Amino acid sequence: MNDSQAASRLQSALEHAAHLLPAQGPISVFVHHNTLHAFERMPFDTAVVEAAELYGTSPFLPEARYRQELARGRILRRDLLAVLDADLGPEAACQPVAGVPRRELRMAVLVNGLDAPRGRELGWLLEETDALRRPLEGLDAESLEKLLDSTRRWFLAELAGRGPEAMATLLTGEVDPGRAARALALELGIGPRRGDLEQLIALQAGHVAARTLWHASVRACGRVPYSRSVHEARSPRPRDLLHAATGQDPDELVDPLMIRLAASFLDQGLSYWPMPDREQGFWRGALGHLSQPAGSPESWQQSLPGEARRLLESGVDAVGSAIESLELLGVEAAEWSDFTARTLLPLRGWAGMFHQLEERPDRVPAHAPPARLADFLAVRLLLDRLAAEHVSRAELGDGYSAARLLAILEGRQSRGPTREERAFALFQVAQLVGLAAGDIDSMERPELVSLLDEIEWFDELERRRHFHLAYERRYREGVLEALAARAAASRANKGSEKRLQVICCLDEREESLRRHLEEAEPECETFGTAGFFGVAMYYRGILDAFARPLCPIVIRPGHLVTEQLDETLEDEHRRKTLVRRVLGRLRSALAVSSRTLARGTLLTAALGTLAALPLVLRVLFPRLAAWLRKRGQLLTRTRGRTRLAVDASETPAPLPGTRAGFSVAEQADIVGRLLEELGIAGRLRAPGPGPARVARLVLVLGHGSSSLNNPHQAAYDCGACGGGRGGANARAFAQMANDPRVRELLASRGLSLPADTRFVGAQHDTCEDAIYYYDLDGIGEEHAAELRLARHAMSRALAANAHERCRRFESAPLWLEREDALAHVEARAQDLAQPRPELGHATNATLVVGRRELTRGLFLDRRAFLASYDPHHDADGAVLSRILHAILPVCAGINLEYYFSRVDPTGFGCGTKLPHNIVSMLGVMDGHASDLRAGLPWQMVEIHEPMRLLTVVESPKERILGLMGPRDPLRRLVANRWIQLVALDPDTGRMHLFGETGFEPFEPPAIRLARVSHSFDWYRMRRDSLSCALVERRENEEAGATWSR
Amino acid sequence: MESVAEALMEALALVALTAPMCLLACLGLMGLIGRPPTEQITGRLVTAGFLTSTFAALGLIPALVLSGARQAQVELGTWYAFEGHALHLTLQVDRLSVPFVVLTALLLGVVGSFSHRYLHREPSYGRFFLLLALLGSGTMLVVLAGTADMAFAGWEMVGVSSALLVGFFYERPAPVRNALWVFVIYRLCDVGLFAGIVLLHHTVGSDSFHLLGAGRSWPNGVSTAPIGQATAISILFALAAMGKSALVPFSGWLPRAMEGPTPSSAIFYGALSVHLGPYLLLRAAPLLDRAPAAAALLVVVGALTALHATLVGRVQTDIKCALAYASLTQVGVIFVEIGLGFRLLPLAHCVGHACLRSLQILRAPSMLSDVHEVEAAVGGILPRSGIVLGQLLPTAAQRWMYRWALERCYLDALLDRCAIGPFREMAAAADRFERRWTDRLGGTEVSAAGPDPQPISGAKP
Amino acid sequence: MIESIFEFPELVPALLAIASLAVDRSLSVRAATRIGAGAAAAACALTVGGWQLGLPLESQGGHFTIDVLSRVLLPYVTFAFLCILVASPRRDRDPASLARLLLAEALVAALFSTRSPGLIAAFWALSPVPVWAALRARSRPAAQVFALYAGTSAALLAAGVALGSGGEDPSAAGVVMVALAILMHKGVMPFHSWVPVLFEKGAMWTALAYMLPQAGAYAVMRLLVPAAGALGRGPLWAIATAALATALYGAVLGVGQREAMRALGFVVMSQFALVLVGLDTVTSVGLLGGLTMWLSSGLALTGLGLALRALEVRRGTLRLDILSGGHDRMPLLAAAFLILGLASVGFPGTLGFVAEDLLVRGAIGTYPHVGIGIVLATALNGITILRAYLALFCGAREASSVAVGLKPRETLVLTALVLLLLFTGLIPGPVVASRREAVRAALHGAKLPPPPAGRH
Repeated sequence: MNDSQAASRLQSALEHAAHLLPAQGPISVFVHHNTLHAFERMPFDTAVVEAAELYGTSPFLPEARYRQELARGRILRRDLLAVLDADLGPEAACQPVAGVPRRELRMAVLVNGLDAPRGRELGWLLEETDALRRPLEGLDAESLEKLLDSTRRWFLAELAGRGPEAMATLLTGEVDPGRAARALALELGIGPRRGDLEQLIALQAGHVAARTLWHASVRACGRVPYSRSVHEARSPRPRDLLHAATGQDPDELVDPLMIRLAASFLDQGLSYWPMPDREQGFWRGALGHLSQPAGSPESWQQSLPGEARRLLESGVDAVGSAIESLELLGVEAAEWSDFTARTLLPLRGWAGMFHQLEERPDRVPAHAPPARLADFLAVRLLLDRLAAEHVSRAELGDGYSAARLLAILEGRQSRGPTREERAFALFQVAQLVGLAAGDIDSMERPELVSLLDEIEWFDELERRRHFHLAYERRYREGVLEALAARAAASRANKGSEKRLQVICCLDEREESLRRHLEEAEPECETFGTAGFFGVAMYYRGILDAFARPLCPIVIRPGHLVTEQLDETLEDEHRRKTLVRRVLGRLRSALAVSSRTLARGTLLTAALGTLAALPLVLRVLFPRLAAWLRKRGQLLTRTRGRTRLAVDASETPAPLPGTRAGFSVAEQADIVGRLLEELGIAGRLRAPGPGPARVARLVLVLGHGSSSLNNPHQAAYDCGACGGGRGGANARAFAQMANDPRVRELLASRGLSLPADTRFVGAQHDTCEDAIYYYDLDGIGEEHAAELRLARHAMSRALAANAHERCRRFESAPLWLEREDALAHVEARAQDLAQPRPELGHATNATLVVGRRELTRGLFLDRRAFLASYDPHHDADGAVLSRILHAILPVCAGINLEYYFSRVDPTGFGCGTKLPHNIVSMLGVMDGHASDLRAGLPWQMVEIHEPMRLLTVVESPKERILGLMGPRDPLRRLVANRWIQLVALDPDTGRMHLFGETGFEPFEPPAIRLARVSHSFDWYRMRRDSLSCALVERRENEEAGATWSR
Repeated sequence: MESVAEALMEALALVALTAPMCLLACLGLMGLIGRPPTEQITGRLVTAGFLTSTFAALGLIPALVLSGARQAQVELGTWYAFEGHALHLTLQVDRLSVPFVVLTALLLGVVGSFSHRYLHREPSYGRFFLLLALLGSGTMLVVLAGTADMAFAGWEMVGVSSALLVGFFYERPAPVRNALWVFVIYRLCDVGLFAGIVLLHHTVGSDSFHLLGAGRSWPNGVSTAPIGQATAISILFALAAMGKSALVPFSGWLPRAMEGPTPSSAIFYGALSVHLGPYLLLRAAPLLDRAPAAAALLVVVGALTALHATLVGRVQTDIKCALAYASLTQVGVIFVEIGLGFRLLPLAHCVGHACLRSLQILRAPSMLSDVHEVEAAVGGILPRSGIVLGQLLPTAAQRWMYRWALERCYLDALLDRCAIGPFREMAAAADRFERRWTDRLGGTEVSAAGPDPQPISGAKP
Repeated sequence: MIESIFEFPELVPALLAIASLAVDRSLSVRAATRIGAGAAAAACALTVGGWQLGLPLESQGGHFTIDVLSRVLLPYVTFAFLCILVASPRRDRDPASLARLLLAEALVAALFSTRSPGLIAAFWALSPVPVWAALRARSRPAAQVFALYAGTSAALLAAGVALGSGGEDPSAAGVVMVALAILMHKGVMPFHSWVPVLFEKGAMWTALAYMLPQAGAYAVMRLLVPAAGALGRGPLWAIATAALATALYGAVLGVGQREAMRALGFVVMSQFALVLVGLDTVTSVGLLGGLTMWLSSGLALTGLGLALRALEVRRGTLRLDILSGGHDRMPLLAAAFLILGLASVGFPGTLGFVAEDLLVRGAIGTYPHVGIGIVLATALNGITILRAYLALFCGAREASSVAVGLKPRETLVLTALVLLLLFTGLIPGPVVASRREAVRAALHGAKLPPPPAGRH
């Protein structure tokens, strides 16, 4: 292999490894994505298990957790049975194992669970507890009776046939009769006399059953050796071998240094003193750093400066050095790929960030360092090499050699479970299905093999997989039943003319707001769409320092829109900007100087005590502090007329690769496309006097979230805006749609908006449940009534929404009054100490693409992404294709990220927020030197129910199949079942669920939906996730009457 | 009027001290008998305990002013007595202790309230507040102690609670390792305090702080101890203070201590714990006055620490460590002030610094939004600020210095290599000898170690 | 009726010896436990409140006496043995082991009830026998090591007593022999090597049954302190120095250990040596400190040993160089381990703090550097304790779903010990007062020469 071949081999190894690294970018542009994106080419169940093994994580919730859900009815027995049937097939399900139908055997194990104590713990359980003194707890009466009865009969028959001494051996497991007699006495206080034994079985049948069964199980496992293969890791790193052989972990030496180097190289301005030479890249920068004379006194680093100097002087690049290291470590070229991945995975957060910044330097907050993953790998391998050498010398007295370590480890390989450990599983299963010692003893070998195989195959992982499927099934059935019922009703009921229409983000947090809006104002109709409203742009407001992209992350916008101030306010603005700038500089200067030596001394000694005031105020009285702060901001922030420079202008945009504003044609495209997706265009084009077309007032509602103490804040903002706030997009869209030139152009394309229709942009703060309307001064008298109506409905809906949200916060009392709910959510947003300002996308579970009639009035518990789509105006499926391609990856990304962060909060997620420490302004660490933590924090996901996204599309199934090409990323998601896809036929109401073999018909049982007259009646005094219900106001009932109890 | 004020003062001091202790007893006992209180009840108990303490502490200020006296000793009786050796429980209320009592109570209250919300639904919620109460009791005991023995008791309590809070997230190995490191440093430096107290007894015949200053009110106390002994005691006390306040060469534990939840970092390493060192030295001021050599040592160590911390702090890339080193810089300066003979200045400096720094650490998680806000106000990226010390140096020296700063001046590695490593070697050698000896006596099996070390596999992917 | 057979001092040992026979005869673990626990509880109750029975406190001929010293030591010993008996796991409670445990207790109780040098020598020689037998059943080489030391110690003590130690006119050679016997029995350097072996190879109860009564300290009080008047402080001073060296050496070795049981052995060795340091200062405060330390570290380390044993039967070999996890599965055990551990090294709020304080104050009166040595040793032991706590209970969560929490009997004993140590630590007055008379009596008997130049 020559140099260039080696280099390209290493490059491809790096590419392979890079896929496995977290794809999370800088934390201030947080974007949700499938944590296991690299595994999407595999079916979900296989992929999660394989990934869990690679990362050392957990693919499903813990078994105990599922069993809790079973106990409280979140999973039903019939769900488990259905999953078992689907897994086994109907014939196999009835096939008996050891006389028990397979299905029943598995069901018993699922419901009761198996303890799997290992080693000494098992010894303790047998010696010190009642495990052998009574049958399992929670055994159902039937099995217990069967067990005791069978034992009794067998025992008496044996006693008659073999004599008391032999019985003693059966009871104690001792082979020698003398020792058995002693053990019997020691355990039970009786001698091996016939009378004693007869009395024993009469009085303590349970004890005898358990004891004899245990010894029979041990005997049985002695007859059938363990056959399942023990998994072994491929391409072990030096660290793995050394750790296994000596107990010392070289990574403990390397990691801290690696973390310090990576953090200071990537730093975005947190430290005063930037890393020298970092413009030369990580490889040369780090080498220059490590080659400094008089280096660390740590013994493993003694040869580091010399080695670094040698590499620096030889001029070898990162790839060359990595190859050299691999060769020195004795890694075969065929293993490079796996070995590289394993080398990068221990600090996958940092490695992933190098990769991200290499791929997308435009997402760097401030100073883009020339990051390259190859550099990271080369430095890591260099340090790994030295540390391995050191540990090997210190512990084994000789230099590192993989072959020698493998030889040492040869004899120590784990050989699978011991006989007793296997017997304990058999012991429990036998009790569950009512097999006694005699039954086990008399079993033929093939029968025993199949029983043990069955038990050992149905291990914890397999049980969790079953539980997970049942867990998903229960929710799926509930939603589909409700949708079927609603669909039937909606086909009967055609909509009526509406006075107000609201276009929201499809975000599941807006589900409740939309429901409450429609509850508060029946004359209101809502739509859902991706919350950037088709306006992909860089945006810079008058108070912003930089322009930031507001559009889905996959798009690089080509337009810049700025907010511009009305001329009359310019003087004031200039003045206030000056004040703001001075205050800002002062604030940053204070923050900096409080940390320095001389200025810090003056500041802390002279003025430090004043900090007690904000300390007390902000912690103990957060709302008061926030109010004061807002008062203060009035002095520095210009309020008044501004407008967006949406129109294309001649002036070149300051950002490279962008133009300022949109041309009229582009604007018409944007407006036209959105109206088409929402189904409004179809209605407008439809001949004849249709019922609900377009209202006189259309509110375009973007959303964002404001909170303190929240490094992950961007994850709470609008995903369709790339983790930004969607208000500017809504405002831009409204401005475009109101533009007469745009309307003219649209009309010429056959889409004429009524002249009296007016669009208004607004932004919903999902944390505070506040709303801000844009450009209201442009609205004339003619829309005043609608506007009043809209604002009134909106303010009531927001209060109701806040109240509904509060039920999920444990720190808000269940009996919270509606009036206090808004205050409560406001306080959360402004509280420095609040780790859960809002719950983000937690509990998301469903995506419904279809007409609002399908979901209107349906209580979906803030768990459903709702995208509007009218199947009746899209015969060729072009609109559906556009919608699904845009939103499905986004919603699945959110859903899957929550899934993984919830099933393994520390392995896939970033653990609890409490020890998080912002580093390099790029992410968070745990404590002072850990990996960069990717994923979601525990506080965001704890109430989430991890399930794959249940996607219901109101469309004929052929149309859906037709829009997915063979190499389509959507096809991977659907075919490998990373989402659960359901096609709901708009005309017949039939449903098809996408299974292993494609769409399969699904018939939800016809149910009568629970009916309430107000959402409140459904959720009152309840904290948990709720099932669906129909919220429908009865005749003659005043809206919100239930409130005034 | 004055006698009423004095009685009031005594009562208030007692309440300020006992409120956190009652809280500790309540939480501890309920946990021990297997009925740990719910989050809500814990929250209420904590609020009640710390609020009581805070109000009592605030009440001490007017009481001290009104009483006219500049100090008061609150005799709580004798804990145990034997043939002239008695451990008296005495509280010292004077111009040194009152500011610290107020600071302690206030910060405990604020951090308690903060943590109640911050740790909501955390599985270890109860354990956190137990440790916080232990810290509160310990700190109160140190700052109100009238005798060195009592101060030592409090000192130990602070040490243990600090180590356990560093190891609060015990599932991960790093916090556990760092907790042990912190505890080792604390424990070894505490030997200085105890030895100092022993020597104090031996020299002065009493460990009462009141008598140490010949009964005159702080900071006017005068000691009559011989210079030699005064120097020895001061240096021993200084050792204890250096450990608790993370001075050079013990600074390495401070960044390691950032493993705990943010509020505990704030109260320990921004506010209370690191300032106990200066407090102790201020308390022992009469001795320091007679020990110029010890004072000089303080100046040198303090100055070294301040320079060390400001250099290292400049390259820290994570917010908690940056603040920790900022904190250390000021603590170093405070030591210099004490060494130079100032008394009221370091007191004011401690209080001011504690308030400011704990606010900053509590705000650390909001750092990103703060930066964005300031950037928006300024209208651009914040320039790299702070005069880079190194810029005055030649480039090669700059690189070298950056490496030193990034490696935190190798203090931990040096301690490990020069002190702990040899110690470990010695212990290992002795152990080998022991095993050989018993082998010879009883046959080879005696010391054969247990089964082969089987490291836990799967700890890391 | 009882009076005619036993006087009170003989009652407890006799009761225990008889119970030991009965237990040995019993067949099942359950029966043995019941009898044993009943006897141990009765013994404990008798020693705590038996004075009210009105039996004579001195037996005929004066061989057995309950005086101010034994009046506190007996309840301490019987209580500690009761704790061991109740909290030991089932695998340690087979009839043979329980019989040996009760026999060991009987011998210790007899030893603590006598002042007669001859009887002391006799019980001194007998008391290792049951421990040795139990140890032999588990590891012959370990038993051999133990027997070497225990046998030599018994022989030396017998010889020393024969040469007149403890009598009116002790000879120097006799005193030296007695001192050597004590050093061996207490595991003081350089005669300590059996201590870690005993902890590592024996069941926990064997180590505790032999170490916790601290018969060596008793022998100091009975045989050496009275001799101080005649022979001066020399021998005591030598013992104190050796004990201090042991305390430091044990502490250093404890910090470096990789195995928990061995580390506990060194901590026990170190902390128990401190008792000797206190007793051998022969100042009133030092004596008081030593006596208090005797109780506090004895109880705390008994609890610590039981906690470790409870963990060991659940987990197997306990290692200190890896993190084993388990805090969330055994929170109470973890908490008890930490509190008992801290109590044994003198954490404020526990009786150990009072003991250490007294010990140091007593020591500095005569030898200031001893005080610093004591502080250093406890500081190091504290590090061992915290390290053990972190290594044994912290670390990644274990996946197993088996409930391994404490059993009620273990909970009862550990909680009782924790509460006792905390309570006496917060209100040490009664304990201190109860030891005062013992100290006075000892000093009165000693007819001491004045201490070397000190400031007191």
